[in-house]
Amino acid sequence: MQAKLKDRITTTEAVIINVNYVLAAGVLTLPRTAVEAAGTSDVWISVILCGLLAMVTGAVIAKLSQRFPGRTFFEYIRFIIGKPLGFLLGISVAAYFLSIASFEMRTVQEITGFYLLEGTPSWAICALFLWVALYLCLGGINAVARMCRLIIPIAWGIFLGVSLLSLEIFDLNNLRPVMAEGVGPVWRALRPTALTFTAGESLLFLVAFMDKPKKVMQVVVGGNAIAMVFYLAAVVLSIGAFSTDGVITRTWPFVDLIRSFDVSYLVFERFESLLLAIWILQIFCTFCIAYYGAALGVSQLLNIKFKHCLYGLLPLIYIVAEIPRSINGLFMMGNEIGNWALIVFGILPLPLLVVAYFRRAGA
Amino acid sequence: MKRRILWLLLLIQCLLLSGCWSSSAIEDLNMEVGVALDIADETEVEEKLKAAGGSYPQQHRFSCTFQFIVPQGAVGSKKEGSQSKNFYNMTETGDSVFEAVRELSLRTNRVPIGHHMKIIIIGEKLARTVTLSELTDFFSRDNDIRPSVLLLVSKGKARDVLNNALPGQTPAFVVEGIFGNQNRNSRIWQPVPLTKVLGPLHSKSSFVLQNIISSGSESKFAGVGVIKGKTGLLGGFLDESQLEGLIWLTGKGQGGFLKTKDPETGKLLNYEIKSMDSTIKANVKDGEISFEVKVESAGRFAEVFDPGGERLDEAIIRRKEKVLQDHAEGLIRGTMNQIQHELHADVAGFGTSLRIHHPAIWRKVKEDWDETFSAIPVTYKVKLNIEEYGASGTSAE
Amino acid sequence: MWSMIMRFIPSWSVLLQGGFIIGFPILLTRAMSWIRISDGRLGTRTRKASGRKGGGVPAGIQNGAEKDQTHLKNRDQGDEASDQSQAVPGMVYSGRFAEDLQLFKNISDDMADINLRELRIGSLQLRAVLFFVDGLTDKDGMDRNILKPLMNAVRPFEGMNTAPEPQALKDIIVHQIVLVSEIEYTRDPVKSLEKVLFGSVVLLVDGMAEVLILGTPKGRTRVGEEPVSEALLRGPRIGFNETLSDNTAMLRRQGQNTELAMISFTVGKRIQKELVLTYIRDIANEELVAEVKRRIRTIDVDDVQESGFVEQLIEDNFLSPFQQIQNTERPDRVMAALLEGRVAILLDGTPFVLIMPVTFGMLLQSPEDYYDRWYAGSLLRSLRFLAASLSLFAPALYISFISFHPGLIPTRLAISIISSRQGVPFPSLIEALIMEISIEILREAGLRLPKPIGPAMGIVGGLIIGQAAVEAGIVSPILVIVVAVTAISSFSVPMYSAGITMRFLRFLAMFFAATFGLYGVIMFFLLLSSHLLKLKSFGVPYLGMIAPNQIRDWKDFIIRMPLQFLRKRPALIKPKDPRRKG
Repeated sequence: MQAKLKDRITTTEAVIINVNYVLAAGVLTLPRTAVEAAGTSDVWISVILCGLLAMVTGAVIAKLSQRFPGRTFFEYIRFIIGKPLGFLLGISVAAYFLSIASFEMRTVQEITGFYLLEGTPSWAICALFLWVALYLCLGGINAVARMCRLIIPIAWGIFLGVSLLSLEIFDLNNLRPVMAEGVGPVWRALRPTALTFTAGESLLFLVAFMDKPKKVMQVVVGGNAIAMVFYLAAVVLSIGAFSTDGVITRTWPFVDLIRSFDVSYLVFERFESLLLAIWILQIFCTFCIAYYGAALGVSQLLNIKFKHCLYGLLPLIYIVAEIPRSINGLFMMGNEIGNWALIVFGILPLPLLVVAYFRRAGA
Repeated sequence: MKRRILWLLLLIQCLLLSGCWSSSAIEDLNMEVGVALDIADETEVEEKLKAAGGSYPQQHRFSCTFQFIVPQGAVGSKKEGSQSKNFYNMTETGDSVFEAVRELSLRTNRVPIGHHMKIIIIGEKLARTVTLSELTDFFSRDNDIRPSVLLLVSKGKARDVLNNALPGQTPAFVVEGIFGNQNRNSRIWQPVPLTKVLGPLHSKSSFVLQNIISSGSESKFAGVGVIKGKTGLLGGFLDESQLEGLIWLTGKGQGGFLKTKDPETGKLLNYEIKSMDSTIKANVKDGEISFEVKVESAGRFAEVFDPGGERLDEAIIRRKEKVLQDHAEGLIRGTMNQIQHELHADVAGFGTSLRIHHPAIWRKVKEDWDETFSAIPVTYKVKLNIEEYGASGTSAE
Repeated sequence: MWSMIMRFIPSWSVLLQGGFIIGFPILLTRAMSWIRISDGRLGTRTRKASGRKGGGVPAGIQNGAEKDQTHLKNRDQGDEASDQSQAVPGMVYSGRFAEDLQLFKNISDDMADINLRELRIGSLQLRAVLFFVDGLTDKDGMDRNILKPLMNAVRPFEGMNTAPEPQALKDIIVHQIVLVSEIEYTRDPVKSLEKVLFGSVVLLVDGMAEVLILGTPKGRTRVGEEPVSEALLRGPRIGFNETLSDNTAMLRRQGQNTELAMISFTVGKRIQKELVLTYIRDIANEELVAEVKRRIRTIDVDDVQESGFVEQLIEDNFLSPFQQIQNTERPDRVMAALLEGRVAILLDGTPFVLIMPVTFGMLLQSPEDYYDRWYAGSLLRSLRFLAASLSLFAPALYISFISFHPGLIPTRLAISIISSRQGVPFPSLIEALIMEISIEILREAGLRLPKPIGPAMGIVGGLIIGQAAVEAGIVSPILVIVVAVTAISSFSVPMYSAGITMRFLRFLAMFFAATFGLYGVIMFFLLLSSHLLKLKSFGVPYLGMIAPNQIRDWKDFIIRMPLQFLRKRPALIKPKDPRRKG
């Protein structure tokens, strides 16, 4: 038995999964990486551009998946480029999902270990995270989708509230002037932004589960637009508070932003634990989607029971996550994954679509 | 089958027993609420300890004084009535802040935590010799201490400030609380958290920190200290009236007053500020930079003394507005004189204005901006608007 | 080159940890599946119902054909009874009085509570005997409507000297003498005994092979009082009682509806009880009804003592801490559920009626939400939601703040907590456990105590123990507040059983918090959500309300929209007729 494809998700659920997949650890670091590359405060323009760009690549992937209704990428790829090549590409995509999952988990481990639980062994933090994720993923895509939906009001509500509170230390002058040095900085920031903002890949298997695959464009546009708002908020608020020169000194600029103000008129005075809490929820969602994608890929490519794949990938994710020896190694890993994604999901789908069109593969 | 369950139970038990890795009970923690950094100057306690053999090789760079909260005992046993101090300070002299913190662990069993740290006060001598980035590095890197901690400088010994408080109060909280009086007095600079210092320190631009002085039993906010961007060291101070000028210059005041003498009558005039706003406009003409400062304020009479005791009609108000405007401009000029010609530090945001409106020019001059700034002509325009005079419609005789 | 590769090779400890990470869930899964398998072996949960082994068989089944009878007050018991009695050969009444009397006495040998009343009928002086059980039978009615007419019967036998033919005699007795509406006939002594034991009066007449079962039962039934476990300020003051027929009647009395189906089953292998499945025919989803029927048939126990047995035997996941079937004592609640397309099960002998399927939101809803204005309803619901989360997470958050994240507490509060905790000898987990467990004991003890002492006990326990514990320095005052708030919060959950679940899970949350702080609490929340997301009640997702497919289901979740807007039934249950009105 392969993964149950009889599970169906609605269009709204698909949008939510897509948003949740994109929104992850990147929000915490993007302000720094983008400003480092650009050197000016114009990076928010890059974020918007990247969002639009991701919509285009997402649309290509969506179109590709639409040609094969009810089939995931891992199943239909062989119809486009043949079995051996398709198998290789499928495996590389599955491996990509696996490394994304590892990356997210390692980020959780780093942040939790630094801000929340100094002294707790990292394997314990990871183990709990992995076990809960496994338990959820055993429930199939529907459980994952519902989890995403459940988390949204909590996570987004707190995110919004905390962002509004941080306006207290926001200084618009830090974001001005706009485009003082022309498009150069915007262009330079595009790459690091794109690395965290690759969005289309979850569509490779999502479309197969959608009850109305025709509406996939909604998913692409809606998902990216919502995610873009969050990234935009993170970048703008962080730069507004720290200024461009301050942002690049912070390892986790967004966390430090929330650490930078006390509020004396609410129950809590400080919010970073709260923010980390909801962001762990958010990363958990991303992790589960990536984990699900990886397991689905392995299951369909190698014809192994889906549940066995989930179990089997669990230690693998942990081992991959432990490969970086330091925080710089982790960021480097993030970079490499991003590069990989740019090639596989940014560039490759278009030729695939063209080939599929000419070979008349799919509907 | 039963054996399997046994194994499972064993596993769970192992997990439970080995748990609680990073838990530490709150009552065993030493809550740091304030830090004072001074040039090396050992306290009596330290000297005695040293004499008894408690020393280690160090260069004696500075003394860190940590203010801790003394818990007041359980609620039930509070009835003893002894009004003891609810804070105590510990000083440790060493080469780095971190070393000093950890050295404290040799003197007390409680673990210091910095979550609730409110203020960092830096003594004048230290600030003049060690760069601020070095001094704040530990605080900006640590995971306990938040970037929201406020920075101050002290003309004199910073440690003394942490000693002064009314009974039952904690100096660190008092200092933090004084910043809340910004709407009552315009001689308070806005609180500067660590967050807002990181950028300027990295971009090497100048800024000011509130100065606090101590008399031995009480502390007072007295002007600001100027941190020079280029060196990262304390360059000098602005006194209270110069700070007032700086507030008018930047429009960062939330309230307060403006007092002057009416030259015609020789009597006092007091204006309460309701709002103020300032715009600094950068003009570039043929490569020559100049600035135009426009200050606007609205407020009311707080005290008006006049020999006649006449009704405050429009004409009088206009005249007095003029007097006040002149005085405010005088304050601003005094401040500008100090920062342009004495301290050579742009702390009023002229650079920001130039950066925003003329980014190309800014790129050329930003390397040596503080010096360039010293020679730039500035024009001023102050506009006050007295909206009302309170419940009394005449001036006091 | 080699060192490059070496950098990517994980160390042994990482591999070992990886092994641990995979090992634990596999072990757990194996244990779970072992429990399930052994349940399947021991119980009948997995066995598809086929009616054998004494499983619940619908009373209406005849030759495999099922008859959905609309439950009418005077059921066609007569037909059914005669059909069945003819099916039993062997031991039957013969019509010879002495023999028959002896036969009955034999089968009711050790039942001392069965009374015999011999009499002579009317002018003919026919020998007859009445069997009844003292206490179950309406004696007044029996005297007035059976004994007196029988003894005084002169006119019907006018002009007769000998006893008429049995058929004629029966007609005379039934048509002219006995003043009883429910009459059955049988020749089966066992059946007549059953009826006697259930409160009917059996009349055995000399010369008649058929006995008459005269229905005059009057069991001691409780009047429908206000339910104790679900008190309401506004709403009907009536609750179900222990008699099935009363309960079904109560449901009928909720309003006239010809579509209210009541299907009767008998359950229990040794002690048989009647169970009625009820739903509204043109609303309830057919698949759901079929599934419930199928599950009822899988019930295979000696005796279904209470509807709790039914609940536990037919629910989806018996390992889950959450109840997947709601129980209630309120007819209005049942009716409301039926109108939403749900199905209810009534069991004889218990006032608790089961409603299924259940969604998580229902546990926090009370009928009052609908009776009061919608602002009040919505606010109260949000309050209950808050209270439920408080009762689940408050002690856990306390532990994680106190022991892990002192930075999250406002400075002044932190100082006062530090002050108040000086001298508390235990870590926060132990401290919280001491208080929580003693509160739970108090609560349990308060339930068992005689009514007049109960509240006093609560006050003594709550106030004095709390105060004394603080004075003695065992716990901190803040914790006492936390525990008290938690305890009160858990009472605000309208469903008592759901409250128990919260109480139990609270301890789990505390352990998570004590090990991992806030991170542990988050992970516990995720674990709980994962479980709830996967849980289904009769095919309906348990958390369906929180994460609905259609936004319109949110209209009646935490916010109770005005009734004018609640035009549709919950889409989750897939009712046949989705519209309530318009």
